[in-house]
Amino acid sequence: MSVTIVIPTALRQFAGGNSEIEVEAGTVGEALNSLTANHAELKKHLYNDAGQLRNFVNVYVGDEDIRDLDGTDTEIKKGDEILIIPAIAGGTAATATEELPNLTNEEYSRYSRHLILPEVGLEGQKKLKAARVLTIGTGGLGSPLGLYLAAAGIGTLGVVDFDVVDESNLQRQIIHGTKDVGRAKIASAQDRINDLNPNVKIEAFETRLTSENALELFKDFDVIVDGTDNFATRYLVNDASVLTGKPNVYGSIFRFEGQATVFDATRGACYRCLYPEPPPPGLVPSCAEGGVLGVLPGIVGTIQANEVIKVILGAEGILLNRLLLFDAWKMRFRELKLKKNPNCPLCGENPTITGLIDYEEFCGLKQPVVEEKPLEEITATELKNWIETNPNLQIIDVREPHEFEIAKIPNTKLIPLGEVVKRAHEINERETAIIHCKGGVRSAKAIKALQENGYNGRLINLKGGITAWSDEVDSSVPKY
Amino acid sequence: MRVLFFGQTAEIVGARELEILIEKSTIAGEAFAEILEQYPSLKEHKLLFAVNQEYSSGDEVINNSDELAIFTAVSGG
Repeated sequence: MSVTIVIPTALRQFAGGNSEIEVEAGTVGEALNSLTANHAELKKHLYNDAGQLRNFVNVYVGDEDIRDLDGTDTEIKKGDEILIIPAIAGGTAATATEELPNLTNEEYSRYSRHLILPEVGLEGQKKLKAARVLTIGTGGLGSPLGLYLAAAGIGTLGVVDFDVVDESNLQRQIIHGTKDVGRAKIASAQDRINDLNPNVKIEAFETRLTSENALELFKDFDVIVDGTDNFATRYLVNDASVLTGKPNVYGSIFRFEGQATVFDATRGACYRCLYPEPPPPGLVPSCAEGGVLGVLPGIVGTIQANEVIKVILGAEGILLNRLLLFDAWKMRFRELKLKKNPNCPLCGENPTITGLIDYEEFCGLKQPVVEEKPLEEITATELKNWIETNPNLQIIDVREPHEFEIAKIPNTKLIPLGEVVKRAHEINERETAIIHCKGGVRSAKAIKALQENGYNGRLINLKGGITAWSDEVDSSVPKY
Repeated sequence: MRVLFFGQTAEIVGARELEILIEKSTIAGEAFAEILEQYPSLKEHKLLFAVNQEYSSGDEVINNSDELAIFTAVSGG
């Protein structure tokens, strides 16, 4: 009997580019055998080594899943269409290209409340088991994240932290206990997760996330979760997520307020689209400086855990391109629509950031090394010779007017030290300027101030000031 | 018109919500600028502006029935 098999776009390359192939067959199994006999590549995509249809390949006869009929033995009638529908959208790489793991009997019992939810079900629970999730931080956000992700049956949980449990953490970081004070957070979190769900494989990274290790670390995971506590690491997590093509489930907190969203540059905005630049250092207090309501990270971290699970399940309604703003004091949730910024330097149309950078420096945490120009000086005698040979030489006196009254060097311009920066335009940058005062100290300050404020011309300090001029060049100039 | 403040902007302003009156068909950017003039410390921050829960480009025409929001990034975890 002649039957049409509809080939999905993703598999057409293995079926000679055809979108439909007609075969002669009596059952679905025969039809697929006939198809794959001619297209060996396709066979690998549809069947596992044991010769069974792969879990993520759905086969429909008309609008019915053959799993609900007689499987590959399903008989086909004349004019039937067989549709091959591989799971692609939303699924993570691990679930789309590999066999999903089976559940043990213990896991069937443990996850029974998930299994009876159609939205999760056996397939979904297996996806969770296959998933590899990396959480950065085991603090306020990382605590509920670690606990709920472990409880939900995430197969592999990567955890990055380098900190030690402090008594002041216990008000909100509920993955750690009183007995853990002084222990490495990662060890304490590992114990708690093992106790909660020994099925979870923990990959512990007791290290600081850096530009050197982030890409290597991220590439082995399906979903990244940002539970860090500072801007520098947040930009690092974002950039490494975008560069490795991973979704970044984001949450952050401040006193009574939280923000959460899912950044996924392949489907929308990234953190830099929302916040192109970090705030100036010191302006936004940390939890240690500003305080935080202990329950707040519990709520925000739990929202993140919720979204991680939905991302893995390929659920609809992911918190994508929506920034959730939560106010625990008013108990109010608000949302803001996010859009990918086409000019985003990282994920926009013409990216300028193509690798990880120095995030401490980006966030202004490193004191910029101010190259202090060495102070150029001349003696009074040298100045006298200069004046004779260089009629354009400017001489600026930065003393006060009453001092100028007492004594002055000929052809000088008075700009008192306090006014020198705002009157900098009165000095010609294209010509050398000699700066002097009484003894050479104020003039050195004036040069430094001018240079720091962007004066680009050559400035030379008169060593010893007008006093030296009086001593060496012109004794008629009074010393005072 | 209702103006919402989040994060540190709420502390600078001393309120999470303000009611202000604007003239009919005001440009959003002008309304934001006026708020910044009243609370100059806001200008030290990297601010995000929203009109009716969407990012503001600043050129939306707004009325007293609209809702503005001003907020900053937070980093705690």
